[in-house]
Amino acid sequence: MAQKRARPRSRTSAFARRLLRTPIAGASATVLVLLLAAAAFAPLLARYDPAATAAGPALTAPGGAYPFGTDRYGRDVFSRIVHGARVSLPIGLAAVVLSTVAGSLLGLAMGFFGGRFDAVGSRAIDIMLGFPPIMLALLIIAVLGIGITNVILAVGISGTPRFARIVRGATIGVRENVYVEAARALGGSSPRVLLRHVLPNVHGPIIVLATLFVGRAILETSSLGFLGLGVQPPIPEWGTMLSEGREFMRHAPWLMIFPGAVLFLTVVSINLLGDFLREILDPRLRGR
Amino acid sequence: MASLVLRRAGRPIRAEAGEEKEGGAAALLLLETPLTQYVVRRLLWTLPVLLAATTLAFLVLHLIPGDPVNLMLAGRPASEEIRENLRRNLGLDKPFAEQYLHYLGNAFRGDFGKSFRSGLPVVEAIGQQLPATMQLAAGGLLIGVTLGLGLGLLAGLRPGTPTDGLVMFIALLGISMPGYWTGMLLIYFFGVRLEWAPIVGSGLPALILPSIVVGSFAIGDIARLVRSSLLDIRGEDYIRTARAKGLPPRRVVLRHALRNALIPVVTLMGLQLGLFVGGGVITETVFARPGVGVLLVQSILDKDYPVIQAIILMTTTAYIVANFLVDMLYVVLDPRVRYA
Repeated sequence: MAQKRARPRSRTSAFARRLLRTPIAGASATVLVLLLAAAAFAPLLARYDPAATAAGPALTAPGGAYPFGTDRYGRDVFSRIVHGARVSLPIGLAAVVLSTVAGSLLGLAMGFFGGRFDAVGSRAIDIMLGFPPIMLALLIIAVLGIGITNVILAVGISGTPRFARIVRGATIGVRENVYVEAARALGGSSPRVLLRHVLPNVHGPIIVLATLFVGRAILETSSLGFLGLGVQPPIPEWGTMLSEGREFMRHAPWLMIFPGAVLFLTVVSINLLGDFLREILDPRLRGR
Repeated sequence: MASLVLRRAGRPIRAEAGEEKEGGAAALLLLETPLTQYVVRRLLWTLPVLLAATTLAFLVLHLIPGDPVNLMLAGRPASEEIRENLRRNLGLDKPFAEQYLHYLGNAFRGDFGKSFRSGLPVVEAIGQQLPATMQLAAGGLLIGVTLGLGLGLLAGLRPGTPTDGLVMFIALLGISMPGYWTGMLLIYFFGVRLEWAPIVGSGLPALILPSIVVGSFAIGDIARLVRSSLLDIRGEDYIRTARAKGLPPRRVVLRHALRNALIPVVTLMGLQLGLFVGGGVITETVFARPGVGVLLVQSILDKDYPVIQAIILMTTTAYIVANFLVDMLYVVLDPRVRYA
């Protein structure tokens, strides 16, 4: 039994069992699955074209044909939020993929090879971490200009140094293990040893950090949108929608309540799930 | 600088600044102490970071596609002669290395040129906005630290209880709330609906809601850290000793536990300054307040690069200085650091 547990397949099912046993994590996972489904089936769920003006009378209160109301151009807010999931989620995820891949490769290489490469890289990371996080993103936008790709780059690059630092630390811990030495002694090339022997043993912190970062990346993306420096209207990005809703707060509060609530629910679910993952993958943190 | 008190083998060594008589000997002594080495090392380390920040700020203008002169003209038609003049005024006709050194020299003297938009010296343009931002940051810091510390203590002293669970849940909500949404909800409920707090204007009352928003960026992080560092030191020998010698629990918490638990929190506060800067950008926009954050966003939209460069450099410098001060505070809070 004990031996069987150590096998990867059983671990996955044990993970699923625990997820279902933890109500909060289970609820978060459900919310996220629903959100992803909403994004995938947006055209079926949304009754109106998200960009169609005069889908209804302008600034209609929520109810009836327009569950979340309409905005100043008479666009259906519900349809825009559902379609917004297709904008906000992929951008956030793409940024996380960028940070994770770039940061992990950098951290792995620095930790594994050490020496001058590590020294220079570590200093560069210190310098990047010396910038306040959103400043780095704003700086990148200032240089590259406004656009969806640039938002991904800005959010992704500003998250890279944190990954690199954590993965570097974990790699240094793993590097000295006997199995790494054995793999090298058997003539494994550096990239092979790194990817086949070191990476699988540092994947825990990478996954935890990546999960926690998804929420941050989505928030940062929407913040840029809110500031007018991210995704531009009329694309229904949640942050951009909130920025538009700000002007009508007094008379049409639904324009800011619904997109904000969906954004908040998304990020909360991701963070709760991230906390759950951290407890599972890093037992030392349990109970913290 | 008042005085540095260094303890070595239990014997205090006092080195007064400006002490003439033994000045030389004291200085020599200071150079040998680990603390001085630590301070100097730490101070030296800020230099490359500052230099990197300056270089980055300089490169911003050169990395952007297109001719800076076009940006300065902002679409207005101009003869080739005017363009040449502008180029010369901006120093763009000089070799790259010379421009860089020139920029470094000017930045060192606090001269960042003139805004492309307003024509105002950049330092003046930022100076006008600075007080509003500082007030907001101070308000946010006060609220963030007070609430974060309070909640963290509440949870950390009774781990595993429903109180603890509730506090940690609130902290997680705080981390997951989009700051500008918090701001809009506060404006809507307390400003528009209940009319409890003003949402525009100047003075202290108008600072309340924005400060809560800026503080909210930090409350969750601080609370979580206070809690976990309280849990960390719970098992330490000195806590057990304090308890064993019969100190009342409140005294154990305040004198022994809290003081040690605060050490990582102080570090976090240095790092949080970045959040206050970022939080400031967003909060100022939500509340339509003046400030450096709004100026930065507007400058990015306007492609007003001298202003962008200066704000980047200024916030980074503030960040570096704050973190340096935090590290020094560390030395005060934790005597062990002196010999590290």
